[in-house]
Amino acid sequence: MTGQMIFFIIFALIAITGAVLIIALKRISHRVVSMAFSFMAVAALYFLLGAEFIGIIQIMVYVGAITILFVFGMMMTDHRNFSFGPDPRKWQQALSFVGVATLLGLMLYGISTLDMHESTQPFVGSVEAIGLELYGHYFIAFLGSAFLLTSALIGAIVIARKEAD
Amino acid sequence: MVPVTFFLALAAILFCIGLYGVLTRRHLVIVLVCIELMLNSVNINLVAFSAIGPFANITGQVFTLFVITVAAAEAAVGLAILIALYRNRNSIDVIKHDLLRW
Amino acid sequence: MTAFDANWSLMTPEIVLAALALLVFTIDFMTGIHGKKPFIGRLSVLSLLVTAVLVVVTNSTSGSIAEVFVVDPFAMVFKLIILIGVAMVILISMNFLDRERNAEVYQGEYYSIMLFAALGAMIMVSSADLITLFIGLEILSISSYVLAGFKKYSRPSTEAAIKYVVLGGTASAFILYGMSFLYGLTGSTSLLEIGQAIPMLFEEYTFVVMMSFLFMLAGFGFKISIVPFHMWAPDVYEGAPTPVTAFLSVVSKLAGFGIILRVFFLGFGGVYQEWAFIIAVIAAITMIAGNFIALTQTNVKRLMAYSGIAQAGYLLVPVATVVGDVGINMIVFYSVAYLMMTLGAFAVITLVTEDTGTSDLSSFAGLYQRAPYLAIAMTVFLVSLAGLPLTAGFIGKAYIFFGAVAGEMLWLAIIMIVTSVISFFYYFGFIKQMFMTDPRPNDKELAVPGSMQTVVTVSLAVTVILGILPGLVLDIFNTFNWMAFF
Repeated sequence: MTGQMIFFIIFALIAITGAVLIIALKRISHRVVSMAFSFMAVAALYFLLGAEFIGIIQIMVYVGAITILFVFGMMMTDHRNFSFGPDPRKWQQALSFVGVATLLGLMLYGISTLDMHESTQPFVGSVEAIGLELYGHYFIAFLGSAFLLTSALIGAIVIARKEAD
Repeated sequence: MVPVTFFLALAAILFCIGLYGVLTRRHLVIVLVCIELMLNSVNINLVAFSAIGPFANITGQVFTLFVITVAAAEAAVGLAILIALYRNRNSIDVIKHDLLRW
Repeated sequence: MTAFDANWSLMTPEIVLAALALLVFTIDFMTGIHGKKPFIGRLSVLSLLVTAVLVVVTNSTSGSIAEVFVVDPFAMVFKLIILIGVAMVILISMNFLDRERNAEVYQGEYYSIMLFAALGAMIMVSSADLITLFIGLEILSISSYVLAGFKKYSRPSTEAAIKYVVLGGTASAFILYGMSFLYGLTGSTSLLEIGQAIPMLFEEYTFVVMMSFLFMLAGFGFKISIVPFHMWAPDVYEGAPTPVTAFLSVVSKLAGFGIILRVFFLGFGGVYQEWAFIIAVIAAITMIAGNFIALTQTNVKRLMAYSGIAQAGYLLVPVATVVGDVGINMIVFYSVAYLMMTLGAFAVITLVTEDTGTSDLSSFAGLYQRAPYLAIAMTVFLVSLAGLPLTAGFIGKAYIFFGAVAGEMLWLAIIMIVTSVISFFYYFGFIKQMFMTDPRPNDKELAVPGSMQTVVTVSLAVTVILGILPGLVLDIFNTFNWMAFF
């Protein structure tokens, strides 16, 4: 077992545990913290893969910005009883569990059938290469995402704005 | 090196945990968190393929950047709507309609 | 060819629309926050029409920018459908937003977000690359989430928006998960390269390619609301402001069909035989479920949601039965018909439900006595939706039906006919309310404002003319080589 494998297992376990705790924990603040841990472990996996730039962006956007956003969301709404409908019944939960577990089984089966001749040396993408692709081949998508963010910004402000009466 | 299938399996597990959360959890903030989790699993797939996949190249990482952008925008809009909904709450604090009603 | 050497004039309509959308937004915040701003609505309609003209002028020659952004007849026709659809939705909105009841809506932002949504849909239908396509789709989706919640002090509207955001985000995750495998197995996000690689990949990794296809089908199926991914549609349609409902059921749905065709024909075209049957089964379930559940509805907007689901089923039939240009002919013709008849119907629905303040079916009681022209126009739209002769809907359906028969899917064609007959019952419920019931005692004669009159008249004219002389557009469509951009 190589060192990389050991690190992969550690980070994968943290990511999965964090994800399970998001669903299993009772207190909402604990859940958001476990989300941050899960995202952090995913960032570590990106470093393991040699994608440092994406790893840093992951930490900045997910662990930083989005976690804070959710903490604000949690604080600005009464976070005890604000939810969709009544809790689902036991059989609904069981049905969802069986359905999702079946889906997971199929997905894992599909992934296990992948028998790919993969490169032994990981491809290391430099920031320069990402920049050249982003501003070259994917320039239209880049401009498009500017309009996406503008639209989301205007929309979020309009909807969340509280008029001074 | 860790085989790419391990990363794909991890992504599949996270995707399904997120999906289960969306389907069964009732707390709105947690539902939005679960969607972020699903999008994150997509990122793991993309970065893994981009680094050690059969056709490793930079495109996957560029795709990941776009996914992160979209995820952030979606979270922001989702929380804005959540706040508007909270402002409109009546005495009962639950949404009348179930999420998956036929 | 890299993106920088490309012929950027192909993108003229998008660039102009983007600039005009920002202009509309700027003018809006320079004229104060509140108040009625009809000039911004007119300016938006004008921008869309200018862009539509530019689409006709500049997109008539095919080409591509680095095979990322492509211009072909398919993109051109879908862009025209989107632009005209959004222009008509804005004309409907102008009347809607002027009402006292909707004073809370920020008008300028409403129009500019609608223009952004149109821009996203345009980028989406003319991209041949997964990343660009996804960004276009998300501009459209995020704008739609916001628009659904634009009546922010109305509980149904915000509830609809949150539901749409949650389920829409999940659908995006499904699409992306499917796309990630396509990228991983081919090392490219270009649909052309994926299309070339797919037959061999399918041999080697049948299960994973099918999985990726099904994940994408689930996500796109959500956007066009096909069974079993339709659960959001009735609730969101009911809660959202009525013009936004029209936007979702027409523009969003048809743009979704645009990318389904693009991705599945271009990307998965090589293994058409393997997935056509899945689409056929989904189309059958969609037609049956949509039409049967519509029978039980009494709320106009929910009824239109289920009717829209059923119509999505009809539109899927050619995807499953006819490959190539003829299939696209059918889908595009029915899309034009669907655009006109549904927007016409929604114009009348907006006017009537806003006037009576309820979206129950009984609000249509005695419409013939209150506004005879509207009642007759609405009847034509409903008859066209149901698919009776002399209307565009009939020609579209007949065309699809013969395609299905020729494609040796007789069972699908029969399901289509049977479910169309079932749909007469709920459309007839409308007609009965309009002509055979007396108006409620305090209902007065209904004044029809000019913008509504325009929408209703245009859709009525197109529905009838295409019903009598379908050759007018079909002859043009037959000369198109839909997806040839290289």
